[in-house]
Amino acid sequence: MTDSGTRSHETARLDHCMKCGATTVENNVYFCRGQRIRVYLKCAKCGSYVARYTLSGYTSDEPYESLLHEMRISRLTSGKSALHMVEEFGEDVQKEFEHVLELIASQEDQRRMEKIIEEDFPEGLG
Amino acid sequence: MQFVILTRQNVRTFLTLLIALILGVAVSRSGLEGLSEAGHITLGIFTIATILWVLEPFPLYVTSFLIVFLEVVFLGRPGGPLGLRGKEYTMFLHPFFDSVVVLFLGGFVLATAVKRYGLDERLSREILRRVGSRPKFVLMGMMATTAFLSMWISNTATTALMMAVAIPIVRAFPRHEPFRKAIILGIPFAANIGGIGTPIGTPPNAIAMGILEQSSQGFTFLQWMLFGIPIVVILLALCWWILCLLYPPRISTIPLELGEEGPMDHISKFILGVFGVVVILWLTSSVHGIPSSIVALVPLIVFFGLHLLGDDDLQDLGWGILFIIGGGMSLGVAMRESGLSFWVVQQVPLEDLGSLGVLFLFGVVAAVMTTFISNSATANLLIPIVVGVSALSPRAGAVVIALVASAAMILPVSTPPNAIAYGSKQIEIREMMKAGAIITAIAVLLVPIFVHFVF
Repeated sequence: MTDSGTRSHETARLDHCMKCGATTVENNVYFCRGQRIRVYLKCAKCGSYVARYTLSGYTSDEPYESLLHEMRISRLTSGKSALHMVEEFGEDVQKEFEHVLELIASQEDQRRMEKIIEEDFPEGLG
Repeated sequence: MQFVILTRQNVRTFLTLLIALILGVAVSRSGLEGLSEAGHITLGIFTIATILWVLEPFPLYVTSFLIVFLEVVFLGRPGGPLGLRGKEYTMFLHPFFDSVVVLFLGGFVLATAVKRYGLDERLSREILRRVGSRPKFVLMGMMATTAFLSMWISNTATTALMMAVAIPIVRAFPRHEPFRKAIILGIPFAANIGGIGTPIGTPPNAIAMGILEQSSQGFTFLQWMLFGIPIVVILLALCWWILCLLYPPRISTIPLELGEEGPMDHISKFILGVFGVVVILWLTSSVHGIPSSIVALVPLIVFFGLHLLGDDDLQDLGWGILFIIGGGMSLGVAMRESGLSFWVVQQVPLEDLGSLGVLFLFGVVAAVMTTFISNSATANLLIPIVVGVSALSPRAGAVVIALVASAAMILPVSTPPNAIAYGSKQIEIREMMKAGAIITAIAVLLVPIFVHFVF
């Protein structure tokens, strides 16, 4: 919650190692047939487990290829919305990336990740 | 989280909805001669649906729900203009779990399992490995693979899969190689055409099947494929030939680096086995007597029951498409029950055109509409009308609209596969228009003639 008691619209934070507080992490990506891809974050400083993320999407620095991958499970019926998605996709990712960096630089959320999810963004877990 | 209501998009949505409702009310009070009160109301709902499906202020399935809401409130409520009693209004809800919708759902589950275990990729590589390296054969192989997959998997997903194969290939071409355009256009066009082949290939097929079933004129799975596959083969061959003419290859070979295939694991073999059994049961439903829609429950029960697919997969199924199909069929129920379909066809003296002329007319209308709006919306709006035309067999009319709605592919917005291909930035819009217009024109000429002689 924010100070006024309302839920925030957006926030961002860096992943921190709970053991040593470092913010440098390594992404260890786990692929298992029939399961969602999972990313295990390891502290680059002390080697501890930091967090695990389960992917529902993936976008590389080649956005069109990433979009093709996402669309492999899609069943669009509208050419208009498909075109909109294709045209906006790469641009949106880059813009949002820059916005997130700005948010972290200016007002990084200091709460624990669980708190942020529980209090403000329960829908973020799908 | 703060919800921002007054965004520009929401204002546009609200204004579009308001205009649609005002026009719908105006049409429903227009006092047209020979049209009942229920018919006027249905015409109003039809007008609202048309505006919303054309302008898409919100997802197409929302319009489907709005249609049902308006139908029940203004037509089907007890004591309403249709004179329904008790729960008879549920006739407008039944299409949402109609046998065709269940058939489509089963198709989605099969497609999801195939994708989840990478069988679509494996199959595409297996086929492409056999086409050699001559450019025209590579194009033929890619188009045939795309068309085959899109008979079973969504046209969008098939295009995405095959474009992922094609993009590295065309990027390796010399800069001014014209054949790259043939490949980039061939994939979406083949996906659009391939969807025609089976009842589960694309939503317009399901809409046609569903509305025909309402008047006991439906097809079995096999019956659909018996006319669908020949049209796919003919259109695909012509499409390939046209693309080879428009963009002849200068290079002599295309090396396909598809990698080595490992052995198939037990789960993949099992999924392929279930897929095969389901397809065989679909094709032989007249022999064993189990309806195709009930056979479609087999993959649902087996894959989810054995945890080969999970809750995430269930959520990812194309529910929106099923609701779009349901909405179109529900609109068809209202048009039939209110007498609107009958009234509409009485207003235009179509008999003078002869059955082939009427088929051409509807083919052209469907092609024009679907160039700008979704195939499903086109089928939803036109098929309930065409099945009432006395100069035609309902089957012929519905099939022409369903097929032409899939085969019209002029603009990037015409179909999602076209949009995906255009997004690759490997082709200009005029190039898509040129090739797409030729293929659309061929389909508009060919499909009615074919259907006229088959039905």
